Amino acid sequence: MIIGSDSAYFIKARQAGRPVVKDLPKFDLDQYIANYRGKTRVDRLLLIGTTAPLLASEALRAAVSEAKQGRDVGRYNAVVAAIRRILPGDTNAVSDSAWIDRTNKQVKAESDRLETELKGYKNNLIKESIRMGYDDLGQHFHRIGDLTNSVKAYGRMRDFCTTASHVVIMSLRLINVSIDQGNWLAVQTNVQKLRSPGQLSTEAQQTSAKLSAAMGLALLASGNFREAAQEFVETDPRMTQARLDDPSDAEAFNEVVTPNDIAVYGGLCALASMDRNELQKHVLENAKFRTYLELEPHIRRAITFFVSSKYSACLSILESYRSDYLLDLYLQRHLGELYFQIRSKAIQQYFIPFSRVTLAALASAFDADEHTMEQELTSMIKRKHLDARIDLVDRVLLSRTANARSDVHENALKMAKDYERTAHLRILRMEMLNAGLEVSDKGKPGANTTLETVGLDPFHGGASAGNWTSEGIARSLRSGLRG
Amino acid sequence: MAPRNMDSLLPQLLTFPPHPPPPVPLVDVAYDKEIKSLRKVLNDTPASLLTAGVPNGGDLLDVLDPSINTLPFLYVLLAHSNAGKQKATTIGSPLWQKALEFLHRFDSVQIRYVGTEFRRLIMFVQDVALAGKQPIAAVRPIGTAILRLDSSGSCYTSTHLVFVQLCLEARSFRAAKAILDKDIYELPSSAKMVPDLLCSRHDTSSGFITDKSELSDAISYRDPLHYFLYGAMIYLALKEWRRAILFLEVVLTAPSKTQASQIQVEAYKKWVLANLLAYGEVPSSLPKTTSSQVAKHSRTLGKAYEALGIVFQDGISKEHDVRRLNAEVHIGHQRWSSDHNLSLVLQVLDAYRQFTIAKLESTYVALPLSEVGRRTSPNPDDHAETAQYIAMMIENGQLNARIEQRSSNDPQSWVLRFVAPSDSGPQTRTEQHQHEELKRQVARTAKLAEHIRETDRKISLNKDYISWLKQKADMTTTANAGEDPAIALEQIPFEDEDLLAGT
Repeated sequence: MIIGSDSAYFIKARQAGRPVVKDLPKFDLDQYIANYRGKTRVDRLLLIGTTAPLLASEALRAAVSEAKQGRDVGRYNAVVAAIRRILPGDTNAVSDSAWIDRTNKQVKAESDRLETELKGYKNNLIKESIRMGYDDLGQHFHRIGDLTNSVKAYGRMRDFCTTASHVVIMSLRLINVSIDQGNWLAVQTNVQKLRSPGQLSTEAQQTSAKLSAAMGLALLASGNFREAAQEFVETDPRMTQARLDDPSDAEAFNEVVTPNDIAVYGGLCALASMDRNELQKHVLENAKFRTYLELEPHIRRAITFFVSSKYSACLSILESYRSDYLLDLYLQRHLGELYFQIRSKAIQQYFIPFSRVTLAALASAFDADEHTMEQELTSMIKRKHLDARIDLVDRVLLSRTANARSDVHENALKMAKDYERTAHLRILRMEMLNAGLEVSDKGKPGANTTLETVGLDPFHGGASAGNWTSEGIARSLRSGLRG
Repeated sequence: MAPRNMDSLLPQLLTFPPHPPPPVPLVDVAYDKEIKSLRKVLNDTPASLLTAGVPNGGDLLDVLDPSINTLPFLYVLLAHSNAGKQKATTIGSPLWQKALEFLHRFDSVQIRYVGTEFRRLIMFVQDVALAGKQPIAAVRPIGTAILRLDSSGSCYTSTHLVFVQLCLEARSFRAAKAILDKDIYELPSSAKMVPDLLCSRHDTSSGFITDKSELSDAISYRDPLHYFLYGAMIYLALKEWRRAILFLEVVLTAPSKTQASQIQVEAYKKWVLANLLAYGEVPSSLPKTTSSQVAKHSRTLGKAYEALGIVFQDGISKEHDVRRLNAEVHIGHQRWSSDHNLSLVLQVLDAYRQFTIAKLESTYVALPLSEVGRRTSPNPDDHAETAQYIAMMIENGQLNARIEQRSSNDPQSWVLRFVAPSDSGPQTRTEQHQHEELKRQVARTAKLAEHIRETDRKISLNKDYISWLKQKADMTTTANAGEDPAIALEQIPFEDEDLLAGT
């Protein structure tokens, strides 16, 4: 069953400002999801199902069967709830209570068993066994979606780590859970810990690719595109050699991201944050990242186009992949901003050699109509991304001309005036101090005003006329003089 | 010996100053001695004799010339005013005329010897003017007198406060500028610090305006604060925002032992509004020298104003329409009017439109009037009104722009075009202009440096400072025993200099 993008759910989603992808992405859903393993499969399928109407039924059904293979009841319920909203008539819309009961029981039994085992190990006081007990428990909690307890279990494991490799394992587990939690700060701390000079063991070396990927993700999630790009492009190329279909391959990180993802994330972040020279130097000529870029040749092409100033070609490649990226778990939320920044950077770079460009020329160069171009330029100028001004009458964009000499004069004058003012204020303050005229009231605030003229508004006759009696003034004057 | 009758009195009064002036002016010491003995004679003469009149008819005031016989003239004036005539004196009466003549013509050196009497005359003039319900009558005479006494106008006196209050009462704001425009750098000093004679030439006016010369009454901390607050109010009425802000900042930076004075709180409220009117934004912090207690206290009591400022700034930067600001103004109506700031707040409301129009300059070079109207006018379809409003702003120099009328007379087709200040428009500054402005500024800064030196000198005479210096010197001498203590004293850096210079 194909769902139209005009179904009630997607109309609402669009109104709520969530992205809805109308076109089919370039990838094949089965192949795409086969690249991942573990819980991220359910998450990714669920995201696709709730974003792309054309893929909704396929993705959601796959998500149900995927969830049922795991033991995370919460996640299963989330998938079923989504199906109920999007495909109300579907057989999967009713939750399988038999499976839930069964799984709950299994989970409970497993939890109990692990806890008892752990207790036993503790009594025996064998460090290694206790560590393994916590490790099992943490993994178990992670599997069933109880992330808080999982973090707790791994945290307790720390005291029982005896070798460097134990610390590496523990930190990696913590990183994985934190990524699932969306706790990016914890991801960053754990990565930093493993990278600290004391931890430079061979185990830590082996995980460097994963660490770069996790760190990049965390930076991307916090919107720090420039640093994210730097992380991604420096990712160790060893991850490209991993066999994604083999769960025992320690190099694979596809319970979180695939090497292809790293190429895409790194490429987009770099495009959004680096200028042409930096792109050339740090991205295209970077031997490490080249291995990744080879997996996603179109990203490489886009960057090459940007570097050679063929902005519209670059932008059209990115535009054609917009649907794909909107269906990505980590990119979706930032894609709008990323694309906006890439576009404005392209416009900036395009405008550098000109002093004036017609809006029409800009619009055709960037494949937009004049009106949207105008709005885009306006918002860029306001964000100070573009040092130019718009002539709405002749419809041209003009670069700002600065008169350096006159600016220097202006600045000098301004500084002198500021200085004069501050010095004046300070002199008077010193004089008052010298004369012993400090504000010091013995009463409560407000008690130190004797003149009833304070606060009178000399320009607003009507309201205050009552206070403006000569007697009042005369009295206050006299008290001021004689008192 | 005190004179008993007019025949003996008159010659004594006319002995000083010698008339016609001797070819070689009296040396300061002699001048000082002579005038002091004249003052003694006058003090000993009974008032009845002074008011008695000269034998061959007429009053003493008709015989004496205020610009030469300043002291006798003043004493006679006061004797008349004391002789129960004060009530009878009205504006325009002969005694009033004589008083004004005196204030316009008195000798600016002789007057230094009769500070108390001078102030009594000022008070007399003020009382008469207020009793006659014509405060304006006293404004110009007192203003002139202040400047005759001290032509630099840089020293605050109690007369300043009298003057500015009269100006407010009379609503004669322009006349107030004669005094307000003179920058004040000093307060009356303690005579102990001034070794020179009153009649000598003084570098700064606080040389003769001291606690001993009584040219100013004793001042409490409130007096200068009131003066500057009232001065700021006058500048606000004249729409001279920047000068008003300076005055308010003087009030705000006044030293405080405990919390803020109510005067400072009022100043803070007006300071927020004045900044909105002048710059369209409120600085993120008060001037650096504001004491933290004052800042905290004013902020708490002036919350409503701060909130208004935030709505204003946010609105400008995020291009909201005026509705939110309107609502804010409306909610606080009661407060603005009880604080007597309502008209300022209403001006802030109008300024909002001006700043939104001015802000277009940062994004656009030119845009159709209809577009300006759509974004900023209360009624976007009234293009004629928009055109008029913009024309007014250009005329006032708030916009460096011109309105281009293309072909037709319909304002809808007109265009607002911003121009660079270096090319043309009302804010044009040629190289020449800038050069002159810079030169003026250099002169002002040089003058400022003199005042800084003077303040520095005063600080170095400050009791606390000297005792601190001594302490430090003692410590140094014990440290380098055997060295000449005088040299050690000279080596101590004058750290307080940094307080002034390090802005």
